Amino acid sequence: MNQRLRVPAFRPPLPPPAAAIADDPSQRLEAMYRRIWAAGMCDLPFVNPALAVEALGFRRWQGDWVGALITPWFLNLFILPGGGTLWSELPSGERCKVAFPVGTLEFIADHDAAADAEREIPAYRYCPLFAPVGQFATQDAARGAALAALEVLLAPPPAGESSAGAEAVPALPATPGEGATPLAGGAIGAASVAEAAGERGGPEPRPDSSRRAFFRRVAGR
Amino acid sequence: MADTSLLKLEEDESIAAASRRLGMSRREFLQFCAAMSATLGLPQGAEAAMAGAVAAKKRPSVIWLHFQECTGCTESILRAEHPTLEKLILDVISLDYHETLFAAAGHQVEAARHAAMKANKGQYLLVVEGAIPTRDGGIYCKIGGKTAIELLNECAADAAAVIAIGSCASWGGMPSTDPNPTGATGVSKVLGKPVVTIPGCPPNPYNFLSTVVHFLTFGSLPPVDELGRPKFAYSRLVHENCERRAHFDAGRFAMDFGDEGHRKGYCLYKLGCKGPETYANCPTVLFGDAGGGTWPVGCGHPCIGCTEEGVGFQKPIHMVAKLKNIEPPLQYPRIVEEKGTGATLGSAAVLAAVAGAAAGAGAMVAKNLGLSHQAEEAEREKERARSSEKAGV
Repeated sequence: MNQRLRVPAFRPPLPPPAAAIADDPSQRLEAMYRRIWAAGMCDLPFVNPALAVEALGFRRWQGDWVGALITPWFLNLFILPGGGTLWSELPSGERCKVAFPVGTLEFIADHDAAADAEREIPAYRYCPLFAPVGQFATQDAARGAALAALEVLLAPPPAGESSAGAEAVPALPATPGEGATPLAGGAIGAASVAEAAGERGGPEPRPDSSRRAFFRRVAGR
Repeated sequence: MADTSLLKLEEDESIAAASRRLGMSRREFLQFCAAMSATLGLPQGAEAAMAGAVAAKKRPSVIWLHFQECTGCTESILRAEHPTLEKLILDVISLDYHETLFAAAGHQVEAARHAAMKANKGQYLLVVEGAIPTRDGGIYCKIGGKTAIELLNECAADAAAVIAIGSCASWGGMPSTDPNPTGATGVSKVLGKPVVTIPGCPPNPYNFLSTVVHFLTFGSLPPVDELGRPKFAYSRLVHENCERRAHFDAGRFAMDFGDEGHRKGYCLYKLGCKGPETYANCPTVLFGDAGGGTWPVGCGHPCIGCTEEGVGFQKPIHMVAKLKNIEPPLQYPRIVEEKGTGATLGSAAVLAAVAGAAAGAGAMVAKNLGLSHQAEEAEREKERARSSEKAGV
């Protein structure tokens, strides 16, 4: 079984080194996604017109920028180059793991050669949280989720705790037209997230590094 | 530690014999077992057990039935690009009945099937390729004077496990498209019990092999979802692991075959790509194992959703896909072997917290968040609708 056969036929080249962003990148990011919204996304069936493009919570983290972005078609975490140690150049579409206090998250790298280098942000990495975003009734709801994600991302988790959301759920008022299902659904949702954490994350301590090391050794690389 | 146990196996005589038999180097053979174990999401150490099982265990007897199909599943297994994959499959299993591959014919073949079934009663694997016609008493497919329904029931009675390979056997596939003149149906409906399904047109031979090796090593088939699909291969949307995913999120689409965006490798969603509603591991193990880095999206054609009931062979190829919710994206191990890893506690924590916060803000997000297999839910709903429909009639 030759793993080297399983590489995409088309591999984009490594983009040029990204310029470090000195000031809060929120406006530039918003400008870029407003352009994308108008150019290619606004007529698609899955977008949520109740939401607008909004970058929020951008802060320095290990010298680079970390924040969240709400658009009518996704809610994602972003890493932007700030001259720090978190950022590294990757070809467009490549996945990478980034370690945060809460744990390791998978980000997708992208580089848009068509983006305006001055007023927009050509190179970025994002971690998909929600796509599509039909479940958010208002911009406020999306903001709440985005800020919560950032807070949890950057704060170390309390030991043995992974279902922080479970307590918040009973406070939820039943949404009109949905009956009591959000309550039950919410509880199930959070519980199964916790369950998945226990099931999948628990018994397998750090399989990644050793597996990789193993492959390298076996493949003689 | 698992690594060293596997490296120790390199000296093992039975491993050496197995790799000689397969025409692989020992190293390749062990690497293959490690990759398969990682694909299956098994804990460390399982790769050594698998290597041992493939090398030493008695090969399970396999009865392979063909019904309404094109033999594409068999073709894809025999013509896998990895030069050793088909050898491995034929080495790992003892193919005691297979209409396409048998040199014998007629009564001889049927006699061989009866002999194999008798000798391995309760132990053999039954693999079914193709849909089963049920209309008019199943007369539209007969083999050796028996209808497909009779043959299937007869062979399934004493099988240790039943695997439905390909979309036709899984749910009816292409033969069951409207108006479905022969009443083509999947295996589990005809048998009236759940079976492991490996849908795809054709399915990736690697997924079949991994399933069989799991059976060989542990005596059971791997965990499956509501539709009987092995979770290691069918728990992720094509869209999630797609190499063109970044183009989608950044709004870069090919609008026409051969236009600038298409030549630049942009997202194929607007050309009708069904990746956002199709569960399969094509982006990571590549569809059909056709080699050279090619799979439909990789070479510029939209995914047609061949593994997904209600999508493949039903929705027109150009029709824009329904975007399924792709949360939670991080709880399950990715299916890319070389990068494979269990989900971290952290990633689940982020999602759990987001779910809570969003629910508190009055959104429906929590409901969507925790449901790990949206397809299951949709299916359950469909099932409910179907049964209430039946009750109504």
